[in-house]
Amino acid sequence: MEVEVMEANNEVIFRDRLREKVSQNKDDIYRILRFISIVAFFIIWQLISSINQSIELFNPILLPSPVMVIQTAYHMYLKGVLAKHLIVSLIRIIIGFGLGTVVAVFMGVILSHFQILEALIQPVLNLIGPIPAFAFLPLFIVWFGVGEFPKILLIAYATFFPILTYTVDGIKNINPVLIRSALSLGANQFQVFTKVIFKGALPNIFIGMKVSLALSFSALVIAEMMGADSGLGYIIVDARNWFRLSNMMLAAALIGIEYTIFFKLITLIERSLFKWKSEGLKDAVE
Amino acid sequence: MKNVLIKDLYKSYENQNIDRNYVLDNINFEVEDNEFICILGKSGCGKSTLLNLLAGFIKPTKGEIYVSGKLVQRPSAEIGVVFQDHALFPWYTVAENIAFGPKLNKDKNADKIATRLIDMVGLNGYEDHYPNSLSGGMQQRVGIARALATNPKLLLMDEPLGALDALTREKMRIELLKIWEKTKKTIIFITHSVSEAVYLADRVILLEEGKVGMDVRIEIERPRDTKDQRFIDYVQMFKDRFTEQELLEVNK
Repeated sequence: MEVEVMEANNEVIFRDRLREKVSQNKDDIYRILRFISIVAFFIIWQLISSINQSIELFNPILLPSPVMVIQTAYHMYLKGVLAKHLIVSLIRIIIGFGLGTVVAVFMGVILSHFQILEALIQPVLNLIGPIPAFAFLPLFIVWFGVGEFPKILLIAYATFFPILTYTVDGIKNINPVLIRSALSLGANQFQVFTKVIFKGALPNIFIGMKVSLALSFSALVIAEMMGADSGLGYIIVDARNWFRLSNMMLAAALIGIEYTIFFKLITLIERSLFKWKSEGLKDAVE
Repeated sequence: MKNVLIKDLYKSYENQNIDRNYVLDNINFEVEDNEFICILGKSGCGKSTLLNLLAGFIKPTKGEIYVSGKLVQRPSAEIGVVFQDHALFPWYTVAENIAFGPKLNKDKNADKIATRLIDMVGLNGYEDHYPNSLSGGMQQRVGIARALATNPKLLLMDEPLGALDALTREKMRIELLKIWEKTKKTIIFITHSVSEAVYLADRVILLEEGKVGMDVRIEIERPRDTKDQRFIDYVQMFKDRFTEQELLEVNK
């Protein structure tokens, strides 16, 4: 009897291991497929562009090849302008996004704590919130000139609304029993806020940051396209004036890379801050 | 020595939606030091409101509650609470959850207290785990340890075993009595399970529609055997009372 049970158990274990192995193999296959997808994209792009160079189906200037884009990057690097534009854009996004985040979280905290303020401020926010931030850029330029301020303001403004919404939502969704349990352990109002409410709302704030990030980058590009003389967005406008399509593509690619790095960075911080979320039931045995 | 004194407690809410116009009325009882009290009642009898009043989460409409001679006006570390759904902070580890109270109090021994309590509730090796990765029984052990960490004068328990499966629940009853014997705390334990109340309590207070219906001392030595005739008699007595009440309600 016991032997039978053990054998049955062994069989189950064996089957589970097999299943694990199969699913691992599947994961590997998908990983390879994902890699192939990227490589194929560039190869096909390169092929179309190269073939078009010789048969001239359409004007070759319209579609520079990936190799040409890389060459452009190298030339700009040698001239020393590439790093300058990259860094200018990076600084703008860091300050704008940072400012927008801090103000939004601060406002979110205030609004969810003081009902009077919420009643006074929320309707105005609802009124101007739906207007795309980019519609305000010309206004900002008229008000504040073409310097750095209106650009950073636009980025911060674009960042602001989603984070505000997610912060308020996160604070309102805190389980009231957690607040009670902190109070019964001797916490004062300030400690309840820092140790329970804010900690509980933080994951939501990070979701808001991720949602905002795409908007912040859009704001960056648009701000640099209007009344700027530096930055990746400026490269695109400048390239249009001189009909340099490889410059355009280079700038677009760099914006994409900057965005991806930022997004990954936020995800990394998230993962290290919210370990408590991912740790599932996997190692609970009583 | 008297630990808890409840005097003429009355609580009502405006726009109350039940068939009576108060939640609790004329509640009077005292609890001795180191006594284990079970408040027994059906849902809607006001037992959770009573606990919230005792914990200082809400204020009575009339009447007073004294714990260790002090009037209860707001929640404090002197009155520990164990919640039904454990209410652990998910972003803190087991050890951090338990040390939470002492740390607020700037207690330098917070970590030592946590280690000692982890040992007492049998969670060695789980110090650095997060609550979400623990089973229901383990989570509630952390909840009990956390409430004990501030060394409260009174420990309130709001159906702490209610969310557990039957087997874990029985195991936890035994553990709870052990912890009570070790720490010599005064405990007020809320439950709707008759056998749980008879198993645990020195005294069972039965709440009926916001009033004290019965206040019975359970005269069986511990450890109690659920198959003991005296145990069965106590359980039957409370069950009969419930049936009686239901009949009365139907006749109304």
